[in-house]
Amino acid sequence: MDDSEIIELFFARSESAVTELSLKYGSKCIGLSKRIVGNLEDAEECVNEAYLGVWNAIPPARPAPLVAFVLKIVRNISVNRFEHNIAKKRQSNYQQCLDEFDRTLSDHSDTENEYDSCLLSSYIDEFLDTLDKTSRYIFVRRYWYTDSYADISEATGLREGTIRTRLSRERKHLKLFLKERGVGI
Amino acid sequence: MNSKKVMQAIGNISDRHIRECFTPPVSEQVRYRNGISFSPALAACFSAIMCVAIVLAVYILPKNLGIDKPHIDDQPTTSDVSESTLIARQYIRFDCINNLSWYATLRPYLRNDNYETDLLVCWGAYCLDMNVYPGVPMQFISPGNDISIETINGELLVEVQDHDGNWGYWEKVSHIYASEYKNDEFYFLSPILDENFQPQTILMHITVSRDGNIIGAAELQCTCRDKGQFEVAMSKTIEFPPENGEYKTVTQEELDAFFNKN
Repeated sequence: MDDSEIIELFFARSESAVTELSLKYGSKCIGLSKRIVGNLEDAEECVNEAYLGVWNAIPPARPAPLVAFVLKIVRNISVNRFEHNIAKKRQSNYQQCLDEFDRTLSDHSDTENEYDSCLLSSYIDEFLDTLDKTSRYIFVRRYWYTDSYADISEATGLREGTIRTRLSRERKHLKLFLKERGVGI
Repeated sequence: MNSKKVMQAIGNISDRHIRECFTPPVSEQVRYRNGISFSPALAACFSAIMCVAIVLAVYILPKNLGIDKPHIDDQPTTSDVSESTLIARQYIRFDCINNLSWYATLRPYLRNDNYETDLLVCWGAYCLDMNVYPGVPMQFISPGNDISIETINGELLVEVQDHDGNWGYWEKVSHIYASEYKNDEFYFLSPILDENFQPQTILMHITVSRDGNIIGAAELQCTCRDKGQFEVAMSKTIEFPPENGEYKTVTQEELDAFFNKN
């Protein structure tokens, strides 16, 4: 089914909208989420939560492309779940003390952090524009889509070692790029 | 700033970058339309063999066999063109407009088992490889507005070739705007996929301009025969060469008259 037809189903508040969305992009969503959270059970929960998010967002949103919109939601929810899972594992008193200091010593409020994050995203967008297509593909597949080196290697025809080297170089370039804009990593 | 914040920020990058990552780049892995992949070295060998075969087939063998065929560089005419000569002829050329290397070429390609290339438009170091499909009206405007292609009732499928001769990715496009040209690449808006392909005749209007002045125009009427293939049923071209080294300004009325738009 065409993306626009799926969106129309959401606008019509038809329950088949989620079914169609899942049929078309479900495997992509599960794959992305699983690569972040590390297990299928959590991934399925994240994706279901993302579908609910899409249901709430459309209408009024009419995203184009739909797949990027859905995957963004999946990624955000999955990252939150990942952090939640990590936090659950960090039960030592020492780690709790570190976390408390992290919260207290942070110079920025949540709003400022949000602003910084948006600014950083725009800088990263700019940085991606400076890369050639292959490097950009590798970077986004690795750090947005959280693909494995093997998968990227298969998609690009490049050796894994080459991909690791390129990514290492791109990370250094990114660090320099951000530093020039007053952002320190 | 820590890695968590960077990863969080990467999560909010622009949609165009996210969308781009769904199509593997072909710059370092030559892909053919049937899905078979070749290593660059193998692809280069294959290309060389194909070039030799084409030269033999087009130039050497016909002469040796005494077969009289139309020359590939025949200039297009304003008259109707018979189907048998369509493949071998270039329909639009605006080569060597001045002493710069700039040129524009539009020509139908022969479809074979490996390629489904139909139209090739080149300007400067860039080439666009386009398939035309029936569907909604489409328009293509190249960076700098130097080539404008409008299909009256077709869609465009565009592939971009960069300076190094690497083919970019395939996208069906509705519109490409000059502002979307950045860092030697194009960003496409709203791809439209017509999965219910039906044979249909389309009309394309093409204008080529330089420095804001139109230097040539063409009209092609193409009949789709199969997905990814069409033949030109009729074509006409007009050129407006520079006078005393300066380009003429062609009015919209003159263009409309050429395209019979009233």
